[in-house]
Amino acid sequence: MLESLGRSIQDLRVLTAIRESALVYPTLLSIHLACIATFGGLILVTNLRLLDWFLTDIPTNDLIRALRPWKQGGLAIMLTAGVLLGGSKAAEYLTNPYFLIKLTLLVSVGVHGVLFRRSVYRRPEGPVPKAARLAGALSLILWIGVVSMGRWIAYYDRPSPAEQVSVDTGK
Amino acid sequence: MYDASSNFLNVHEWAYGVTEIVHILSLTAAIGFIALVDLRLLGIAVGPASSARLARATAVGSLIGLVVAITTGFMVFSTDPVRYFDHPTMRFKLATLLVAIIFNYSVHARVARGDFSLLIRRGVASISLLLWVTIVFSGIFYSFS
Repeated sequence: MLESLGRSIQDLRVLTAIRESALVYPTLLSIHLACIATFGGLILVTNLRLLDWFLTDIPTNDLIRALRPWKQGGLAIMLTAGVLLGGSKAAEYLTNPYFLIKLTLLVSVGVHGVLFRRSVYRRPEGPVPKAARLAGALSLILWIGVVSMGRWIAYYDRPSPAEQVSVDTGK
Repeated sequence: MYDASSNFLNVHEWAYGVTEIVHILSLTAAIGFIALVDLRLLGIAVGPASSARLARATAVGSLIGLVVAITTGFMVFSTDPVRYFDHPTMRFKLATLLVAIIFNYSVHARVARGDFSLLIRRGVASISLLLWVTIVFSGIFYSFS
């Protein structure tokens, strides 16, 4: 079912054009990676600050507020490039377990953002709550997982049709 | 004579993948730390921190990131050294990397720690970001050409 859904997604004219272009696909992938390196690096900076491992003399709120628009802008570009890349090979990706793990981790990143919104990311001035360290650690682990699974998508050994047939008729 | 077919990364596919992941994570750390200084140089206030303060705070992190990224990069390089070395895009990447490292530890470090006009600070930050993004682009384009 996921495969046929993926097929109808990737058959969209714009996604077909991306997949078949020798220039657009690597350009989008480069943009995706460059955003991870720069803006993803700023996420790392925020997480290290929340963990109290880095720039401890700068108030957490100041750092979060200064980097927020850059991280949000970077995330928007990264996601746009990512959706176009994934969409252009949707049938392959939606049936790749590592891609599905990556999506789950990305959703978890979003959930973590909502859960810690009041207490950490948009908290009023005042003493830093204990939850800040937890939020920083969770974000760091989830994002490392997202990047790792992103790379691991390429390492999925798809069972060959022949093997599937032999399993189906094995008995 | 070096025989790439017995290279650990060629024998174990998982090790190749793990090396690539460590490469991406460490270059993210390195470029992210440098980008933080660049944002400050561009004129973005990061709390009360000066660019000198940020450059000092990120120096160890970006150095570790660079060392790990370069080490893992050469581990991948060693799986097929002749192909990598002969490839124009990879040569371009390595040349840009060399320029970026020299720039980072000379001009960039000096301007971040010194007292320079906003124009110079912005110019240096832009060159720095452009160099690192170019390296990422050439890494990807290498594998497509």
